[in-house]
Formats: sequence, structure tokens, C-alpha cells
Amino acid sequence: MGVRENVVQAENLSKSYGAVTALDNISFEIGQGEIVGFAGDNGAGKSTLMKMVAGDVTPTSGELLINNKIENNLTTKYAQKLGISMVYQDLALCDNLEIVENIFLGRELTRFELGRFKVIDKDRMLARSQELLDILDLELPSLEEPVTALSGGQRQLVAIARAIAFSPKLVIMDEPTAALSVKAGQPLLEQIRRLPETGCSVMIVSHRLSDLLDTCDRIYVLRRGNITHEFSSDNVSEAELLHAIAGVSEGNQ
Amino acid sequence: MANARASDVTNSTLAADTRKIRLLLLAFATILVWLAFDLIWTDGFVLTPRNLTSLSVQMTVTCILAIGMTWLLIAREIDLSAGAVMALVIVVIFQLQVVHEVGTLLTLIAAFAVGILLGLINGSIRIVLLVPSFVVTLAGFSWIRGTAFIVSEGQTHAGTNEFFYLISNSYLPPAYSIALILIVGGYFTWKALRNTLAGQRKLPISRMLDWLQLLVVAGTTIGAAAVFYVYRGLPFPVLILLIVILATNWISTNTTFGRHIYALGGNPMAARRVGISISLMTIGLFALMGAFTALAGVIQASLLDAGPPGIGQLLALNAISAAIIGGTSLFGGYGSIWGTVAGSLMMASIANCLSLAGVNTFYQMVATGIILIITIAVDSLVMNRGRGV
Repeated sequence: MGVRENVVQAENLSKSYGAVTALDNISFEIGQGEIVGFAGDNGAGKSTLMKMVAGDVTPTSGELLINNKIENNLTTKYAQKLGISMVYQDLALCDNLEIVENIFLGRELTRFELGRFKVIDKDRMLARSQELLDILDLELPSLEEPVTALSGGQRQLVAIARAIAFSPKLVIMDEPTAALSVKAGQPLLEQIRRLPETGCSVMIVSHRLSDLLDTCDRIYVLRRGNITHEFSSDNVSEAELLHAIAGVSEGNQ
Repeated sequence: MANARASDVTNSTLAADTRKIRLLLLAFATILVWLAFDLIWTDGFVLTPRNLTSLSVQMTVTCILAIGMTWLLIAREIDLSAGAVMALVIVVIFQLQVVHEVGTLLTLIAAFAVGILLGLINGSIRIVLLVPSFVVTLAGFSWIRGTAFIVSEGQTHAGTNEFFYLISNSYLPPAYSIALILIVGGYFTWKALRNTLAGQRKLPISRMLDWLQLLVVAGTTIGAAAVFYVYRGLPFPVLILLIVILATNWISTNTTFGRHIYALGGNPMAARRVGISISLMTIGLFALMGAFTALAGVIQASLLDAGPPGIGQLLALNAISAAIIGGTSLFGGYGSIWGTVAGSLMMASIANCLSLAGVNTFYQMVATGIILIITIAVDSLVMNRGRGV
């Protein structure tokens, strides 16, 4: 892994909330174009880790390098600027707004700006959204439909389209298939596997081990705030992964 | 996937159509009220250009407040203090004009300063203390009203200067009025026509709604042009209202500010995550509500030419009613300026018709309540079906 550039590199990161230690001295890296999974039981520290990379949580100690630069005081806004975008588990879509509006929410393309007063350029947004949905191979009757009208899988893809709309370097996904049936999740996983084609890396947190094995190049296992295992997904079985998560000693380090 | 898509089309088409049906029903119900009172109870007085002109003036104050209220409601906020704010604005206007004999321009600046300041206070308390706006503005309902009585010492002053009086008591000449109405109405008619012709592949019911919408838009344009031309032209307050409607409607649909109001109501968490400042938006919306209230106050002061501190006790509630009748959701996320205008027109029509028919004003309150219940009933029936429940 040392040959390619790392988008994210964590060195001895820790995070404590008062007496509670959420993350304890963990190190990992995510290479360019790599899909890396994080598995672990509830409370293992997965979401804290994810939020840290997304700039939502600042580390208590250790170093976080983004694009080989130390960025310990990341904010969500600054993380976005660095090319990190996040797909939340609840998707964070506005049901009452159109698909195209959701994709560009907060980053609308404009035809005129005067300070905070911005006039939206709907045509350009529609054209760009169509391109994105073509990449994701998603067909919708109209981009001007409200999101309420979509199925769970389609909503998930709209959230991903939003995440990749501004050519990010890293997309963080929190339980991307949790709300979907196994069958409905398959096309989505296929899309995630293809994201590196657009030049970005992917960080996935999921409870579905088969999903991680299907999509990821490497998988880290978190347990009680520590990274206990690192697997290449080619040579690990679901059972081994499960053992590692549960803390049974059979897992190969 | 193919199946899922087919049902999606139906679902979303239903959602869009439901909103259209709602507005059309409201439009036809209003016309029905006019016709019924015109033919049965008022000997043909309702549908005279003179009465329709005064009806349009009667709706301006409530409608301007209802527009500001619509934005607040869409963003999951509310302002119960609007009537009190307007009273204080009016009291300040008469203090300046009558007691201190200040000029019109300075009076106007002061009126807007008072309105915007009170909006900023409401919004800031809301954001800094994280108190629901219902409670903040309920407090405002009381303390701002009290302040209006204190400032006026409980007295009603009357008699603004000549220029201030003209604000609400003059007309755009008929020739200009008809030109303006035809240009504005023509634009919206053209848009509706284009929309209707582009809908070849829609379901028959959607196409029928498109045609009905076109009919209403074109009919309103021609009707308004005729009414205002025949009587005395477009009254100034109505001209101001028209500008407010066009501006707010355009802002709602074409600017980031407008769309973020809807985002705030749809999913505040999502809005925050993409970097929309909820605090700034909320305080801004309350400041704008203050500005709208000041504008309504100026129009009301000039119309009445007197400034009783007890004016507009029910105004905030009426504005909320108009917005809800027009399709704004109390839970945020949904609503439109045109819907609110239609709701305000309906409420003004009932008041106008009942008073022409010589019915006691108490019955107007009963009628407004009944209409609200009907609207909500229709909503819950149609919406539940639209969502496939």
C-alpha cells in the first residue's frame, strides 16, 4: 500500500469524551482510488471515526493527514473543501425538494450572485445532474420530481449522486445498505464499486459483512476504540471477520 | 425497477396534481361565493367593479402579512405577534406624523425600522435561547401590544399629512393599470399555456388540470383588467401587494434563499449538514416578517387615517388561516405564495360578501372557522390517498 498516494492517513488518533474513550490510538490509511471498509460492533467507535474524517469531530490527540497534509482542526465545511463528502445513514435528503435541488442543496449553480443573494441556474443544474445519474446508471422519470416519490434504493442513489457531484477525493458512506433489502442493495453496491473510476476513494462503514467483502479492497476491524485487525478482502471469510469483530482470537492479525 | 418506476410516476404526479386541485378548488369556491352572494343576497352588488376594487384593497393588509407568514411556516416557524407589531408600527407612525409633525419619508423609515427591529428581536430570542417561535411570539403578542398602548398613552391619533394619506388612497390611472395587468397576466397565461401544450404525455386528468389552470389564469387576467379599468384603476395598496406577490414568488422559486426556506422546513438537519446557516436564515425570515408587517402597517395607517393601539388583534391568526387555506403546511416544507394569495382572497371575499349581505361580523368568524375545517378535511382526504395510505 505504500506506493500510492494516501487520501487519508491517521496516526495514533484518539478521541475521548470526558472519561469515556471512543477511539484509542488508532492508525490507518486510505489510498487513492481504494475502497476501505470499517467493521465493528455497536460502540466500537466506527461513527466517531467517520465523523472525525468528515470534520464533525476533532481528535483529542494524534494526527490526521488529508492529502498528505496534517489537518487536525477539520470542520465539516473545510472537509468538503478538501474533497471529502459524506453520505449519511439517514441520507439527509429534503423530501419536499426536487431531486436536482437535493443534489445541489447548499452548493447551487448560479447565474447571478450579489453577496448572499444568489439566483439559481436550474438548466445547468439539470444538465449536470443528468450526467451524474448517467454515471450511476440511474434512470428516473424526471429530475424535477420531489424526492418523496422515490423508492429507498433510488433515494440512496440520489444521496450518492450528491456526494460525487463536485468530484470529491473521498466519499464516506455510513451504512449505505442498511435501509434496503439485500436484493435492492445489490445494484447500489455495484455503483459503489465503480466509484473509483471517477477518481475517488471510498470509506464504508457497514454492519453487513457480505457487503463489505463484496465492495472493499481492505477491511479494518474496530473493537472498543481500537483497530484490532486489518484484512485484505480477498483472503478473509465472513466467519473470520465475524470472529474478529466479536473478539474471538481465531482471526488472523 | 420498471415496476417501481411506473408507480413512482403515479405517486409524484399525484402529489403535484393534488396541489393543483387544491388551488383550483379554492379559486372556483371563491367564484361560487361571489356568484351566490351576487345573485341571491346582495342584488348584484358583489360583482360590480366598485365592490371588487374595494375587496382587493380589503385583502392587502392580511395578504402581505400572510405572505411573510407563509415563509415562516414553510421554515417551521410562526409569528403570533404580527398584529401587535403592526399596531406598534401604526402608533409610531401617528406619533411622528401627528404629535411630532415629522415628514413622510422619515415616518416611512421609522416604520420599517420599528418593524425590522422587532422582527430581529423575535428571531434573535428564538435562536439564542432556542425557544420555539410559538412561545417567543406569544410573548411578543403581549409585550409589543402593551408597548403600543404605552407609546400612544392609550390614545388614538388621526390625520396624517397629505402625502402619507395618498399612499393608500390613490389609484394608478386606468390606462397604466390595464397595461400592467395585461403584461403581468399575459406572462403567466403564456407560461400556463406552454405548460399545458408541453404536457402531451401526461395522464388525462393531469392534462385536464393544466387546461383548468390555464382557464383560471387567463380568466383572472381578463377579469382583473376589466374591473380595474372600468372603475378607477389599480388602487395603490393593491399595486404594492402585486409587487410583493411577484417578488416573493420569484424569490421562492428562483433564488437559493427561497429554496433554502423550503429545505429548512423539509429537513433542518440536512440543511445544516450542507452548510446552510439555520440561525441566519431564521433571523433573516423574522426580520423580513417585520418588514412585511411594517409595510402592512403603513398601508393600514394610510387607509384608516387613524392609529388605534388596539388595532389588528386577530390579524396574525387571520394571516395564518389564509396561509393554511392556501395550502401551507403548519409542519413546514410545503406552501406557495400564490396559494396564500388565493387563501387571502377567499377570506376577504367572505368578509366582504357577508357584510354586504348585512350579516353580523360575528358570523364572519364562524364562516372563516368552517372554511378552515373544510380545507383541512379536504387536505387530509386527498393527501392520504395521494400518499397511497
